[in-house]
Amino acid sequence: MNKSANAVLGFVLWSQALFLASTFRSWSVVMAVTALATLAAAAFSRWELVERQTKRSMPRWLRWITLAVSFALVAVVVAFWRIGSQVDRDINPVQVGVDILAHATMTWSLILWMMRPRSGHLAMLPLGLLVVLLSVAAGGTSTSLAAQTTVALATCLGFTVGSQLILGASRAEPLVPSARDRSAERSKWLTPAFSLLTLSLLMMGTSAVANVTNLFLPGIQNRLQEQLKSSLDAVAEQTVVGGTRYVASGRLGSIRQHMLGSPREVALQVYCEVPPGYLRGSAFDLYRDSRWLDSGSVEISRMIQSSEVRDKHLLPVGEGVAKLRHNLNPPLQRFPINDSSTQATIDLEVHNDPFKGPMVFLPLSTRWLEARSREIVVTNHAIVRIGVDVTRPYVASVGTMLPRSELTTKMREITTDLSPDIESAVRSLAQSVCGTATTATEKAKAISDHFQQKYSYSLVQVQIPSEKDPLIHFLESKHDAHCEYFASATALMLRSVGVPSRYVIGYVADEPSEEVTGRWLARNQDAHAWVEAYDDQTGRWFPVESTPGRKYRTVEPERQSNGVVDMLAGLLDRDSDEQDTLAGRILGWIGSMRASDPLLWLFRIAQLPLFLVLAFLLWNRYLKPTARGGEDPADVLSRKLLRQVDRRLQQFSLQRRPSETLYQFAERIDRHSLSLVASQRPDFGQQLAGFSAWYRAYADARYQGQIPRPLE
Amino acid sequence: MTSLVVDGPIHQQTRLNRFGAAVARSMRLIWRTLTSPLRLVLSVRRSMTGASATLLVVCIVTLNIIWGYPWVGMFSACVSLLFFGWLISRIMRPRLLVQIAAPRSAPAGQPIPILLHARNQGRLPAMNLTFDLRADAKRSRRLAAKRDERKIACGVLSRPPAQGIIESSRWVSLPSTISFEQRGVHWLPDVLVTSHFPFYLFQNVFRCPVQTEIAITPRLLRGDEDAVTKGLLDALGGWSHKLLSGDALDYTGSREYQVGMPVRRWDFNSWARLGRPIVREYQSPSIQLVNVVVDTASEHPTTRRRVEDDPALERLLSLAATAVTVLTQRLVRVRLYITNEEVSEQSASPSLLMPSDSESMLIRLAAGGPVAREEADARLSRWLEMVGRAPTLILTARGEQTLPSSRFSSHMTILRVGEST
Repeated sequence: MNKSANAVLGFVLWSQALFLASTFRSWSVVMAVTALATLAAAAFSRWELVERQTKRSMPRWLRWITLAVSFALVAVVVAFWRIGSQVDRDINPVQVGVDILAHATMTWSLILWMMRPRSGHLAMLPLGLLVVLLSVAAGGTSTSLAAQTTVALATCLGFTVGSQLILGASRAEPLVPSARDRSAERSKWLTPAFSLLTLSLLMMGTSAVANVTNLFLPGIQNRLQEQLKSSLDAVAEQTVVGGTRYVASGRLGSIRQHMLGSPREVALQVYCEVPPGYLRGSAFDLYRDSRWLDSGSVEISRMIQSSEVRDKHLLPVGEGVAKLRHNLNPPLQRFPINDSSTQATIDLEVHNDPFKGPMVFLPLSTRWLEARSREIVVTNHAIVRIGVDVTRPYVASVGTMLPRSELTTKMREITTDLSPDIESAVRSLAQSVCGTATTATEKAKAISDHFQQKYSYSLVQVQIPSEKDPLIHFLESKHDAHCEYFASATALMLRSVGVPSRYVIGYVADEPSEEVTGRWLARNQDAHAWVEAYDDQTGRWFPVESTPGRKYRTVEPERQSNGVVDMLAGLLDRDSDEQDTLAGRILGWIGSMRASDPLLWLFRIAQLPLFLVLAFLLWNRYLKPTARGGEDPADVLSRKLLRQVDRRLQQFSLQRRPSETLYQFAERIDRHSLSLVASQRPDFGQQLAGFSAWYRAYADARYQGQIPRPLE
Repeated sequence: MTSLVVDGPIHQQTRLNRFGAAVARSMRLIWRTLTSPLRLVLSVRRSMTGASATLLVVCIVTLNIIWGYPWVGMFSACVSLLFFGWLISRIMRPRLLVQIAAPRSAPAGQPIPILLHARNQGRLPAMNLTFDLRADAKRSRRLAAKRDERKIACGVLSRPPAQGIIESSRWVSLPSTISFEQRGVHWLPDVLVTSHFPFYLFQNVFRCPVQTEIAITPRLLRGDEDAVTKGLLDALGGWSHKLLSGDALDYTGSREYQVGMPVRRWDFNSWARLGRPIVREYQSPSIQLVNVVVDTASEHPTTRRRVEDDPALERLLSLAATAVTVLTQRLVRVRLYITNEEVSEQSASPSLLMPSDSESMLIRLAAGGPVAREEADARLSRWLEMVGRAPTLILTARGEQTLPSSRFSSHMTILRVGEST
């Protein structure tokens, strides 16, 4: 490896060191160690000390042992240093582990470079990638597409350069052809030109892959997490200990189990000026085998095979503007959940317990959601299924009006579905209860009143005959029950009288916190199930509460509407004022620029003209017809014309023989043409006559050194 | 107008053949389609280098992005370098025609300078090339064994230099040095060309078979090797000295000495009488043609010609090569006969070659092999009958019992090569 190549390898290592130091804030030591390594590498390279000595004096196995021991020593020293530097902070074991490993890896790379300053070592390639991998994992760059693309392009560039230098050095390959080749001088620029073009292609490919990954990854992540969630839920249902996860199952009895297991454990904390009330977590629309199912879930939607039941993937419409209790960086993203009509709203800041699962709890009339996410998946029942980072709080803006929603044919069919064995038992009761009620709201009120007045609430478990559906048994025996039974029976009775309904579970957050004003708690014991029915007249889903002793409550924005709206409006006005002037805009743009943006711009934009110029030069040299071995372009064009006409003649079953001259072929065409005329095909005959004339003209033109005319 | 179609057995046979060929083609196509994923994987695996293996491992690690790890950039870089790197590597795969220029013959164990001519037949330049000479590729060991197992005997003393680029339709010449330890006619080693473009991410390795043979002539004996060899060389030296400068030379006259004249014997009487230095001149009696017979008879002739199989035969051939070299250096025409060759008029006629041109004889010695005793005896007798009464040196590995000296006339000298020589 020559001196300039050694310098390039040093530059790559310095870039790694800078990235590492900026990630872990270990500037002084990393810079000092890298500078020392650079000096040592320069010295060893000049005197060729290390390689010669180690190769001659040490046997192979001893070298390996020495290397392993020195690496272990480096790891120990680095571990002491890194742990010592973080002793005054809260130590996160994983973070410290990543920190130590990244620094140790960088040090190993530098040691290898010192040992082999002229040719490098193959192990420097994986070590280099590991340094970048760990630095990125530790938060060296943001997760935005621009930052990730910059990392990708820098990795691509660094790795290809490193690979060429390290692996190429071991082959001692000359950069130019041997002196025997007359074109040696001319070929000098070809190798770098091809390398640059290839590098440019690779970087374009990298950029494209990054974009495609960013496009499809959220969907894949959501799908995977959804499947995982459903699997976990299925497992959690079987567990004896309730309350360890959020209520998410449609099995009758799961809420009771949840309420009884650690009943005082806090499930949700909600910051709001008024009691948040009922917060929806899951909604189910199919009742089968004594349990509620969600038609939009992975398993059921596969069976239904209708696009109408599939979940919607929502992308953010902008950054969130809601004020949080604690500032978050990066800011939350806003996702529209329901119609965005202008109406009074109130914000709810919900803090989940991340260990209980990735569920999102929102009131029915939520207009939009602000959460940390790149894409969310929302079900047909306006439930956020997946996509929200619940380790951070999320904000829901709740309107005064119930959301308007269109019910598709398939969804109507699903939300009025009633299995025949249940229908017979439920319909007669529902009809007698509803009596003369005609609208959905009237029917819902009648059924709700029926349960509220004639039934009693109890968490005591009732023995149900194994062959009987628990709901039918409940309706027949009228035994005391808990919310799941009342909600399920209400939903099924509503369906039997033609009202679309769904079974909703979640929490009722109405317990004010004693420590903080405006904070409301929902504990495990506040888990609840209720019903939402669809009113065809208004086109809205409305809540139905039929559990005895319960009353549906949600936020009432009217009380706070003016304040909230005014505050939001003021915030927006202030933003627009700041950006009105040109200077303000420029300042804003500069302020919003990240360190990676110029690099990305350079990679993406500057390589395009380079690629085009190189591609043109190489095409001009290799692929252009005139460039092939000094061939006359007239020959190339003539042959192309001849091939075209030969191909057209094949439809007449005429093929020029290799031994045949053009004039002989033209005569054969004439004979064939005459036979066609004789067989009552004069149009073909005339056409063929044109062909034969062209062949003769072609032969004449070529004989005279001219370019023949194309066939008309 | 009606026509009569004749569909005889030949036509039926042709149709059957065509049908069979079509079925075979279809089966081949199906097989190739079914095995294409496997072949693709194997091809990628073969073309991987340390760099691409590193990328693959890191790529697998970065798949954790589906759990939310922030490695989208790293994942993209790895995937792109692997996929596009492999694609570019396939597109830029060099199409080279490699030929070797080597001498017709060379002595065993001596370095042989050769020249590789590599011509780029593709439209794109061939880049990042390394060349290697391989006689014993692991993958085609069976093939190598089928072709000629003697290829294994080749050693590469200096490899051809690596080449940065060969432009389209251009050629380069690359020097290299090889050596063969064993006598015989050998295939030159195949050339293994490896392209590492782009950036050593992947490699394209392909073998260019070389259909050129080289004759490796027997080693020339040296006196310092061992006692047996020394004895043989002494015997050969004695015979040639006696033959070329012995008593049988006739006096032709005396003449005045001039500077540069070879002096065999001074004529002192004439010198004293005339007062000028006079030398006596002799004329060699027609010793311009010598027969050298190599008797390669063996009790158990085998087709394998390896040194360890029959060291006596190898020593015999080495002695013959030394004899031929010594005689031709002394400007004597040599008529060589090896008993594994058929006896013909041509083999018995005097050589038309110049005395100094010993290469063709050495090549014949290179191809020499054992022959059954009876056949050797018959050929020897027939050949000796055909040639005249020229001085003849018979080199044999046989003892007195199997090849008695009494069989031969006085102008024939037998030199026995064996353990007890």
